[in-house]
Amino acid sequence: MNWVSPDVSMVGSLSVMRCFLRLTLTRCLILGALLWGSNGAVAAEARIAVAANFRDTAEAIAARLEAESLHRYEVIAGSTGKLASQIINGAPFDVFMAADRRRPQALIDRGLAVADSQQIYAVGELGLWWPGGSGMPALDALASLQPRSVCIANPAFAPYGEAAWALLQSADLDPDWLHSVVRVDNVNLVAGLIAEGHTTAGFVARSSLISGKRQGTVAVADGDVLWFAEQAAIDQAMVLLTRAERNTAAQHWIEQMQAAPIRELIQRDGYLLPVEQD
Amino acid sequence: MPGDLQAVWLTALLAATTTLLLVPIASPLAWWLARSASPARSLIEAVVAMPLVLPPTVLGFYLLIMLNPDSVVGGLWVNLTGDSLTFSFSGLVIASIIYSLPFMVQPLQAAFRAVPESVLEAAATLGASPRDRWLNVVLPMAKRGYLTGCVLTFAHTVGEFGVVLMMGGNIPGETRVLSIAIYEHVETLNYDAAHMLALGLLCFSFLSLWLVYRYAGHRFEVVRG
Repeated sequence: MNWVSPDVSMVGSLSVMRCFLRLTLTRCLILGALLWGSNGAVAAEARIAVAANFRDTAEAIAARLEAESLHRYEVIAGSTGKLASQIINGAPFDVFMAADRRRPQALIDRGLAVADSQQIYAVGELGLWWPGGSGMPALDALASLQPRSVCIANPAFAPYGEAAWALLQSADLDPDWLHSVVRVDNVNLVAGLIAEGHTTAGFVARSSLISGKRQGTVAVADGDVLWFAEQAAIDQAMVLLTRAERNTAAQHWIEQMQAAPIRELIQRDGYLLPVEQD
Repeated sequence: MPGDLQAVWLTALLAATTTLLLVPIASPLAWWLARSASPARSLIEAVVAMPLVLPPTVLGFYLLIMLNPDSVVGGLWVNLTGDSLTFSFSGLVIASIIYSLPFMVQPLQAAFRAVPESVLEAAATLGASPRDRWLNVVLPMAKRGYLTGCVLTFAHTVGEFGVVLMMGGNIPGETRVLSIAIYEHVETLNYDAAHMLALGLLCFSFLSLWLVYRYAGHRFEVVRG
């Protein structure tokens, strides 16, 4: 017989619930005790908003820090400008790793980020990737390409795009041709579009090519990229966001950026390291 | 892949929450639209139908302005819950309710209009209270309208993209819904994962619409009096 009187079933579900609550409480206590790490730091969680080109590196760093500590990290990638505007509009991020210095500073000016937490964590490199071109790529030679066959990250909100656009404008190219440059959401997309043959050439981050190579989606020949180390070194700065002032996981993340193994990781992924900061 | 499963679950949760909340919101509204002779009716009908033609970016933009922590509504929410409405699941629920409103109201409105006045009058003469008439006359007759409304609302919310892109960010477990996950997979050249999710959504959309056509007979019609 399946029928149970309403009263009986109510009492039954109440006691089940009580039992469940008790179990949950015990589990919480055990977990809580476990989470007090050996060095006395409480485990916490932090959301790290990173510039698209730094996504893979940030994920590697997160994996490493999670293995060494009890903190948990979530990496959210997007173009620097988009992430900054999301933070201004209330996005619940704890650390912002931009691809420029301007956006972190703007957040500090608005009181959304902690001023003395700002530091340059990596210096990115911009390159012109032109596979299958004749010889070493050159800026001036771009004009020989069809309109809409050169791709950059959108200068309006992506620092690598901004740097690429400045280079293009300095190169004495025809304004109509310049107008036809394809703008995409972030610098990682540029490498993908060229690798898939959708566009002929484009301005990429060294880090995008390295991570693409690692994933097997991008194959680059050395002679196909012209690097602009001097003209367009891209200082990537990070800040702790005000809402995370007391977040130990976020603080740990910021501190660890100066640690030797993390700096090695950053270097491995195609960045230069900033000159030692005090 | 665990990230994608999370996106599937989150999307289902968002669509289910939106559908459940829209039933009580849309029912009285649809009833009024179906029965009222007020000159304001066409005005309200137009407002309700707006999300059908409005670019999602417009809706997303206004919601971003309206819900951000410095605004009246967003600020109040922060004071109450300590959490921001923008880039949060709660914010997405509000957005989805507005975005999917016509998909619930219009089938209900059509269903309510099909309930003849004479039947309600007969029930009243036989002593049925308003509540009785609603539960035992209107609801059974409008069953198909509810089925259509719920399926379409659920499916439409699952397919939401522009609004989420504008005010959702891309936060795993919070706002990273299926459409955003696909976008990210394409961005990162992860075509295999994008294919999986895209094919899943394609099948789901087909099944939902087939369900509507098979059991409700028609998509939905806006009946004008």
